Amino acid sequence: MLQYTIRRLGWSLLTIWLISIVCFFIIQAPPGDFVSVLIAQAEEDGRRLSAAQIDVLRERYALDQPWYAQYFTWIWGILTEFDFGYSFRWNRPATDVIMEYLPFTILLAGGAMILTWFIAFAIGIYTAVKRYSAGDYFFTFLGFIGLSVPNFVLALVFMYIAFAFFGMTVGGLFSPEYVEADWSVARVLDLVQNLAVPALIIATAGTAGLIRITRANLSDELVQPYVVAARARGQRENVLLLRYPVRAAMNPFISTVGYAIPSVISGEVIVSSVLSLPTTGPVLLGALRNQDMYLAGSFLLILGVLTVIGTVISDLLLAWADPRVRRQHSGATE
Amino acid sequence: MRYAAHTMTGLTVAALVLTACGNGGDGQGSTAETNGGATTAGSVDTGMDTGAPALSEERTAPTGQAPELEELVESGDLPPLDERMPEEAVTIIGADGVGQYGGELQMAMNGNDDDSTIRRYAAYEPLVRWDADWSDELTPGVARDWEVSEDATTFTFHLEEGIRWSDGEPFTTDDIVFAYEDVLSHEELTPGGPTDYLTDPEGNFPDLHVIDDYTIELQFEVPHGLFLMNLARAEEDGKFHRFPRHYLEQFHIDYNDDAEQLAEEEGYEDWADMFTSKGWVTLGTGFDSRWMNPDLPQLNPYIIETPAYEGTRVTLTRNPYYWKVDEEGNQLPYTDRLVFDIFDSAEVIAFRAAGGNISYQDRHFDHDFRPLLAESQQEHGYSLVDVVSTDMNTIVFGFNHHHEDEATAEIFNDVNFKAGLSHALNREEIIELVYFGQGEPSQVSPREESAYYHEELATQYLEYDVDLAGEYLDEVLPETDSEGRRLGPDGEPFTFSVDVATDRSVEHVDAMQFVQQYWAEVGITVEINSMDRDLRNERRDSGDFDVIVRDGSAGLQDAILRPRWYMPEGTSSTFAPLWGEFWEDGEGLEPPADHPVWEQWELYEQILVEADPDRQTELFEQVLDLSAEIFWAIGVSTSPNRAGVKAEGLMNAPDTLYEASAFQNPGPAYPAVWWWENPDDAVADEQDDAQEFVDEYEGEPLPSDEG
Repeated sequence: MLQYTIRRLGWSLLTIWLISIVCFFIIQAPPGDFVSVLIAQAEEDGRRLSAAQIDVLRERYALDQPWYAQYFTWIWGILTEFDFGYSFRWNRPATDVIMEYLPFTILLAGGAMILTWFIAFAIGIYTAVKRYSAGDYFFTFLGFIGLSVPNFVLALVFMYIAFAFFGMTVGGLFSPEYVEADWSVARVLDLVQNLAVPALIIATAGTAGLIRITRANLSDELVQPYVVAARARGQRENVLLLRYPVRAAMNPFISTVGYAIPSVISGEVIVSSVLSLPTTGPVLLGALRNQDMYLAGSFLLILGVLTVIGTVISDLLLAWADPRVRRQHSGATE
Repeated sequence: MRYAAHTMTGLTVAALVLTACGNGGDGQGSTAETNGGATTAGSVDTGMDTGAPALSEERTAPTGQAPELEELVESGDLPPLDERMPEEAVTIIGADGVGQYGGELQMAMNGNDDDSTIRRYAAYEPLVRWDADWSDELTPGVARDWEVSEDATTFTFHLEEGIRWSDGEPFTTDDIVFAYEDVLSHEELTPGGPTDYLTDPEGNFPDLHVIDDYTIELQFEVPHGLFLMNLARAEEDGKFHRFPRHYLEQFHIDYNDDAEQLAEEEGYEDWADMFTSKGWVTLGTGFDSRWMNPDLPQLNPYIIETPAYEGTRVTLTRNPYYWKVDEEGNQLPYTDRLVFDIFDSAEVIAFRAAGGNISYQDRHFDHDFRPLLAESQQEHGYSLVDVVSTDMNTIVFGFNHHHEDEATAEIFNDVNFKAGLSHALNREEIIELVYFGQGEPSQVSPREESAYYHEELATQYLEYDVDLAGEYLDEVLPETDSEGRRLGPDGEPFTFSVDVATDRSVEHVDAMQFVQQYWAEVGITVEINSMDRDLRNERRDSGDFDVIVRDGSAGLQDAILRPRWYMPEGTSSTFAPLWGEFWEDGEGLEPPADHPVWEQWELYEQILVEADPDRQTELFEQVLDLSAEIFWAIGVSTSPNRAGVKAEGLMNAPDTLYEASAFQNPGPAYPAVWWWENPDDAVADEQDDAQEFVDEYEGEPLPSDEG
């Protein structure tokens, strides 16, 4: 297990390094840079930056250097001082900006993920046990809709429904009355209310896939001889179900931890942008659109690292939970 | 899409006729009849056709102040009113008359960096102002009076006497000297130089002659004809009366030898960084210290309270030293605070407005939000504001007049070619199907509401007539192949591509589908090139494109300040960016010697050195005559008026508003003189409201949170 862990960690470090290069290169790839964005904005505002001002700006942001030189300065700062560079747009260190928005993001993404698991687990078991029943078809239908309708459309529809039928204004994490208020029971409730909708929207996309996987795996397990044997010994149906086949069918839940993180977070980017939530999503989108490259690069790198960490954790968990996996990868050390 | 049907009803409101510069100052004195504040709505004639507040010709002695300031005076924390204000203060009158103190104005910003929204409400205090009708008469602002020498080189300003910075220090000509000598011309503080109009057209700083505390003379080396209008236009932050010398000297290396140390102690990069954060604007991003530093003394009605550029709410609070009053001598502003909530999308702002959560707002609502806003007016207690935008054309086809390929360039320069394509456009259909029936067919010209409206430029080659289009095109490309496609000089079918920036306007992409068909009918094949704005700009700036599609702006009084749509001026003139660049700084491409563009530039250069505004208008008309002759760009339709929102019970705020970044709406309509009929209800974070709001949403009572 130890050797397996070490090897797994080594590979992930390499992956992270490659991710950092790719991130930075891709951000640099489209035409223009942050200064050209500023020029365009000034122009749309009826203003104009003089050639002298533009030169000063390019020099200030070190945009006159080649991309690999910029990359090395950036990555060196991260490695030595944990300094992710400077956000041009925010005029603050990128780390500050990210840290300001991260807590709510984690709250939202975490909430969405728990919701995803909860719904998928319950419905997955239900549909596997009651296969081809009306309920099965209903939930399958619902799941496929969740899978096929893009998050942002759902967000817009929710926004309209909330406004038209409940008189609720959407957008933001707090109702206007609570934005400035001190923390109180009412404010927390307000936050939870405002989080529920986006979390549900993000969760819909993830649940459908998980439901199908659970349903398929569990269906396979349900007809296994050990289930029949347990049933023959008079084990109560509910206990039997949860204790044996469900446990065996749990693998996909564990192994999807890794890729659930990026999918939840990318869903978060879109939904938060549409619903105007103060999370990292709109900030990342804004950074990319404004060519605010150090902020965007740092975001992508952090997301990349989170994904890698997620995958490592899920691999390790899986190895811990399932001896077959462990043995396959690490030979006979255990 | 349910509300698509309502669009049309909302629309009928739109047609609004405004005589741009009607009865300028005549009606202004007629306000004295307001007796004892017992006014009824709309009873005061402010002299503005838009019904907006205006400057009174009378001055009034300050007599009243907000209760919160009264308390501070009583407790000794603030000097009494007469020590804070001039004896005879500038007086602003509003249509609904004398108001009452209290309440808050709540607005929405689109993104953290949308500080121009703050500026428009809290800081339109230029030396000379636009009036709310945006007539070409400038009205007094911080300068009570001014004289311009005949050759437009010397400008003498008489400042409003006895006005004070928001910390109580007097504002004098010395502050202007500080601005020019120590900030604007200082290389470290203003790298690359200040905004262009603060120097003369050749880039020289003016000589400053201080005559006394309130009189200053700015003498430029060469005439500076548009100086005053550029001062009234306040989207630039480079004004020279925003620097309180007494406060900023401590951060300036020339006045404080320890400035560098101080910067280090406070965690700034260097003294210039510190100075910029304390009292100036960051180059490029435009982060403005006025919205970050609550200690910075200002002349504006509101001072920052919760700083901008971070968090989700920005608030400003009343300036106790603000120097304007209503007609009874009550110190302005009326409302206690400005509250700006920050959102990241225009959709959310529209929903906020439709939910009645915005007090007054005219920005960020694209014309397609009008139906949504119209629908919920009654239910959520607001009315629509008619916003006449400076955008003058929905779609402008900029043909590359200096195309690399000489044959193509020749065709694009041929008026017959563009006239033919223009006649081939079914503008009514585009308006109906893409713009919900809003707007009128029009070429690229200043709008009818503008003093510079040019009928020929606006209406030539406008009607949809395929046969006529064919006739014009036959003059240029007479040969066709078997499929009816017109052949270019090389014998191949003549085609060109049209660059459309997709991230700015979905309508353009939709409309291009139609345009492609219209032009195919007259034998011209067009390829549509959808791309990101940055790529489009890059292609434009290098001159490497056929045709660029954009919406056209600068269609009101700002036309003369930013003539880029009517002649090549800088690279943003899509029809000849490199010529524009050539004119501006000698780079780019030089146009052929016989091209009429030279004549246009010469005329405009005369405007720049002309002191007489009437003569400027005449000259600009000639620029437009030539623009009509050259026919730089094909336009499609006038940009529809947008809708803004105004909450019920908000008094003195206008129902019609011009919109342009050069106009800084609603700044010229004096938001400081707006007041609430029920100020107690107009508070952004009223606890009872919140409870109600939550109850309504939950449908059941929440656990009590008293205490």
